[in-house]
Amino acid sequence: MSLLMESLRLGFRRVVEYRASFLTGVVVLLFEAGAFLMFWKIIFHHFETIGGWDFPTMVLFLGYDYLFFGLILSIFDSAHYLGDVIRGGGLDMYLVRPRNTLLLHTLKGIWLYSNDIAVGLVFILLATKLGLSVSIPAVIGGVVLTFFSAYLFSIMLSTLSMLAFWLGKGISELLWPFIWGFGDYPTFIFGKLVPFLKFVVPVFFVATGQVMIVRGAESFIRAGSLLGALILAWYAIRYIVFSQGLKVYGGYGG
Amino acid sequence: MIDVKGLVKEYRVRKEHSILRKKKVRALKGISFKVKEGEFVGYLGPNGSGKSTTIKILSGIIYPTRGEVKVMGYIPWEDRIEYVSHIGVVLGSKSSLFWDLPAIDSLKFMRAVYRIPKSEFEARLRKYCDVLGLKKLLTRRVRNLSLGERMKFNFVAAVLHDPQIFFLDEPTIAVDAVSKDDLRQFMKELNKEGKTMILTTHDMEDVENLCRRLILLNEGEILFDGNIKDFKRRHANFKLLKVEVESFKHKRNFMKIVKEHEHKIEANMFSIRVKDWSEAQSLLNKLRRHAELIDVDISNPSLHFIVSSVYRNLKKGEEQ
Repeated sequence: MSLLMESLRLGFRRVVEYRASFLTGVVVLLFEAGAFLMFWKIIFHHFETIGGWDFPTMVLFLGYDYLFFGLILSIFDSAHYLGDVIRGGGLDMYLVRPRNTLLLHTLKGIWLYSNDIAVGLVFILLATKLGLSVSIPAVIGGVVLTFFSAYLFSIMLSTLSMLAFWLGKGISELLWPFIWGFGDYPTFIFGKLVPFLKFVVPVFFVATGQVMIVRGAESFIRAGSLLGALILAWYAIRYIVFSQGLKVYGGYGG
Repeated sequence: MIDVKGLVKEYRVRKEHSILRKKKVRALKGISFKVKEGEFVGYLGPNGSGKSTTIKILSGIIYPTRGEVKVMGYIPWEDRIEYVSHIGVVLGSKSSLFWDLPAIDSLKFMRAVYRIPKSEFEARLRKYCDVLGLKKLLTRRVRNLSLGERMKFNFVAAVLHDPQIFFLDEPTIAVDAVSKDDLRQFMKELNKEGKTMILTTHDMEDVENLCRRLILLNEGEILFDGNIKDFKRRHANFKLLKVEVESFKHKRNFMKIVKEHEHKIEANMFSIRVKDWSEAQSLLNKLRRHAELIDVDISNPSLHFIVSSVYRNLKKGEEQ
């Protein structure tokens, strides 16, 4: 716990260290979020609902979407560049510490860029103010689910990154087109691809699942169990890949 | 404390001109040695001799292909997480510090990593920062520190949890002379406290100043393992004639004489290996005929010269 607290403190200090960059990021993000809102406002001006979703539901979706990417970028971002760390022998300095190597790598990589997370939470709040009838526990359940969803994707990203042990380069980039391309839209619009997007590359949990729980179209227990099972499965895969990878790891130089 | 038996490490590397085919390269060819508690061992060898590979195996970073290693009763790569809390590792080419933050933040992070009680952390931090003169630099951002200062903080980060053994892989690489002296003094102090130190370096001054024992490696095999004095006695049965040239009368003739002996040239300074004083005298007389000399010195060779001479002779032997 003290290591987590220390990592969060340092993650925040690193953001504050580059204040100008942080503030620029906030301004850019406000423009981006504003543009998204405008876009959907215009769309819903012409259509009352799309696939049964109205404007407040879409705002809620954007809220969870921002929250997901905020968590990935600020807490789990290191998973993405683990391949470069392995290739450059950078794992040496983690392996000589008496902690879980991957956890330590994640904690050391925390940069608390809270702006995406803040925008996400503001959008979720805004959706309720726009007249979406929701229960507070369901909204909180969605937030919890988003955290674990970001965790699941970080495990998937780090597992693909670890292929650098054999390939010399991680291939976590393979996952991003799915996350960006499918995760940013309600999953049900992809027709026959839905099972794939729910069970194989589960971008359903980027934001769609959370919105469906809030609207009562999906059970929290069922979605949570599926997410939990996926986390366990990917955790086991990552454990095996990492253990085998360490056997061929050469370290830095020499 | 450290017991290494028949240690082999093979790497699979891609064959030249082939995308898929790989070949085995043997970095360590079955080395064995023991290190007792409190020893300060210089672990030396040219690039690619296997010294960093050994250090990485002993630190639990990489797996060996074959062989047995026990350090304080642990098998480093199998018991890694528990084992590494008893060792300190300094890798000259890698830093454990947060680049963007004041140095103290990295040390506080280490405190959390090693679960060091606050009072112990503060006492050790005070002690080590006093010894290395780092007190005023604690709040300075790592990116604004000099290389020597950063290395000193890396040392502090490696000692805060009070390890019993230190693995030091080129810890003074590219560090300025003053910082080098400070770091050497620091390593000496740690060894006096009873810590076991294994040092790999290309800086023979480090070895002469710090180590009593030398393990010399070449192409994955141990060439020598013993006391530095014994090593010098065995391999330094020659003198070093150093001459500084002001101007040449017949440069070609001068160089011809020099090249008949093992030598090293740095600008207009020539270091030439001779058997004894009388050979040095006669060689000096010959050289004087072909050049004006400013300075002459006949001395025992430095460890650096002896070690490089051993490796040069080995290489010559292989070529022949």
